Amino acid sequence: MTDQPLLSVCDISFRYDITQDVYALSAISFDLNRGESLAVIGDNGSGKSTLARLLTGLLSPEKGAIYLDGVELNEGSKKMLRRQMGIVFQNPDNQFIATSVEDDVAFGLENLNIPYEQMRSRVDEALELVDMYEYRTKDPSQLSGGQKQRVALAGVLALKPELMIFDEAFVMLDPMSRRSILETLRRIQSELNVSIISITHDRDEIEFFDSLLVLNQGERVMRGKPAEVFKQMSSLKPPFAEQLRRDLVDAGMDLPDYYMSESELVDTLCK
Amino acid sequence: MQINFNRVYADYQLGPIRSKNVVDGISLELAKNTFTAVVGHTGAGKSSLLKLLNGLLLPTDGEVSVGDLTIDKNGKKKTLNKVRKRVGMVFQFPERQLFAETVEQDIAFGPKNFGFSKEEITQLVDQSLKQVGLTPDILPKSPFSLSGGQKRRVAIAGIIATKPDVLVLDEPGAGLDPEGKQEILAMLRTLHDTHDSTTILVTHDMNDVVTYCDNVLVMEKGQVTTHQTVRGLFSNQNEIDRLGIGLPEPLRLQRLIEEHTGRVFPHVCLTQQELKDQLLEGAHL
Repeated sequence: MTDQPLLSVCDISFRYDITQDVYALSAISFDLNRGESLAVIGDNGSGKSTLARLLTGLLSPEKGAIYLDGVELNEGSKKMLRRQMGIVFQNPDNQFIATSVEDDVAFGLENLNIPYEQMRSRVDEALELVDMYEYRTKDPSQLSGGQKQRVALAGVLALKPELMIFDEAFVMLDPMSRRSILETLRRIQSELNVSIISITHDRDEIEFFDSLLVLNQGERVMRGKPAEVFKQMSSLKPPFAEQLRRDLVDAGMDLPDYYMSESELVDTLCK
Repeated sequence: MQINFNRVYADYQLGPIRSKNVVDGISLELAKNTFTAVVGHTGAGKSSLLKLLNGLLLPTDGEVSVGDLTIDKNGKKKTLNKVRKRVGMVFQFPERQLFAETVEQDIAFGPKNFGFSKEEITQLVDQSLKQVGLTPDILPKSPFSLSGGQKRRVAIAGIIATKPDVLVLDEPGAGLDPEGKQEILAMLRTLHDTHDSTTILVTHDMNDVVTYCDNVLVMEKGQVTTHQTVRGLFSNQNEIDRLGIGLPEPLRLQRLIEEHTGRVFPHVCLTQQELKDQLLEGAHL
C-alpha cells in the first residue's frame, strides 16, 4: 500500500457552466507521493483554485477521478477522506469560528471526537510549531494578518492530515513571515512525512517545493522539478535568484548555465 | 496636492464599546507630487489612515488637511464632498465594486456623480481607459465577463476618471499574477509621473516599495514609526531590524552573500539591476 501515491488525479475535467464549452480544467492528471510537496503555478484563470476545490471535494469533476490513498473521492467517501486532508484558504478570516486562538485550533479536533487530554496536547503542539503559543488565549480577530495565517495553519496541523492544501494561503503575509512559515512547513513535511500542495502566484515560494505543476487556461503545461521547469519554459517568470543568475550570465559573468536555487547561487558566487 | 495630519486620533465606535485608538496621535506631511508607500502589519492602522484621507473615518481629535480643505471631528458634509472629489480611493480588490451593465457605464458612474457634463464624461471615460491600458472595444462589454486583471483595470479607470489630485491605493496588485501586478503598478507610476498627482500606496511587498515608490511610511499600533525616503530606510539595517520589516529580494540576497563572505558591499542594492552591477564589479569577492 505504501508505494502507491498518496494522491492520484486521473484525467479530470471540470466546467462551471455545462451549457458552454468552456472548461476551467481539462484532462488534468498527476500523482503526489507521501512526503512530497508540490507547488501549482499559473496565471489568473489557469484553473488553480478550481483544482483546490476539486481536491477537497467542494466540487466534483465532470470527467475523471481523484484517488486519495487508493480510494476514489466521491459523495460517499468524501467525509471520510477529508479526515486525511487539511486546507487553508487565502483569507483566514473566512475560516475563524471561535473567540480564542486555542478554541479555534481545537475546533477541527472536537469534530473528530478526540479525547480532551489528547486534544490539549495537539493544540499546544500545533501552536508551538507555528510560534503562536503565547497568543493562545487571544481573540483571533485581533491578530495581525500574518498571525491569523499562522493560527489557520495550526488548525490544520493539529489535525495531523496526510495531505495539506494551501490555496494562496500566504499572500497576505509580509515576506519575512512568509519565509518563516514556509520553512516551518518544510520541516513538518520531512518530520511527519506529510504531503503538501500549495497554489501560489509567488515565484519566490517555489524553492521550498519538490516539484512544480504548471497550469495554463485549464490545461497541464508541465510537471517537474523547478530546475527542469524553468529550463524548458523560458517564458515563465523564475524566482528572483534565477532571474539574477540569467542576468549575470547575459552580462558575461562566468556562472554555470542551469537553474540555481538561492542557496546554490550564493554558494557558487562565494566560492 | 499637499496632505497634512496634525495630531490625529481616530477609532471606530461600535455600540457603547469604543475600540482603543486605531490611529493614535499621527502628525505627518505628504508633500505634493510624492509617491509614498505605507507599510506595516495588518492592524497597524494603514487602512484607517487611508480612510481618514477622504473622510470615511473622521478624526476624534486633530485635523487632516488635503490642500486647503480641512477635516476635523465635525466633518462638515460640504467639505467632505469636496475632499472626496479630490481624493480618489482604490480599495483592496476594487473589482468587487463593479456593478454596471457595461464597462462604459461603470467608468462613467464616478464622474456622473461628481457633476461632470455629458461631453466631459465621454472624454473622461476614453482618457482613463487609455491610461489603464485598455482599448475602446471593451466599453460595451459587461464588466463581469472580463478577466481578473482587466476588471481591476476597469475599476481603477473608474476612480481616475473623476480626476482626483490625490490617488490612494490599498494593495492594488493583490491576487494578480506577477505579470499582471507589475503592469498595474508600472501603469500607476506612469500615471503619477504624467499627472503630477500625489499617490499613496499600501503594500506588503517590499519589492514594490523599492521599485515604484519615493518615500515610505511605516506604521505600527496606530502610529507612524518612520517616514523617510525608500533608500534612506533600507540603507539603515538597524532601523529595519527595529521596525521588524522585511527586505526587498535583491537586498535580502545581498545580505545572504555578505553573511557568507563576511565582506560588506560598498552599496545597498534595492533593485536587481543594482545587485547585478555590484556583483559584476566583484563586490562579493
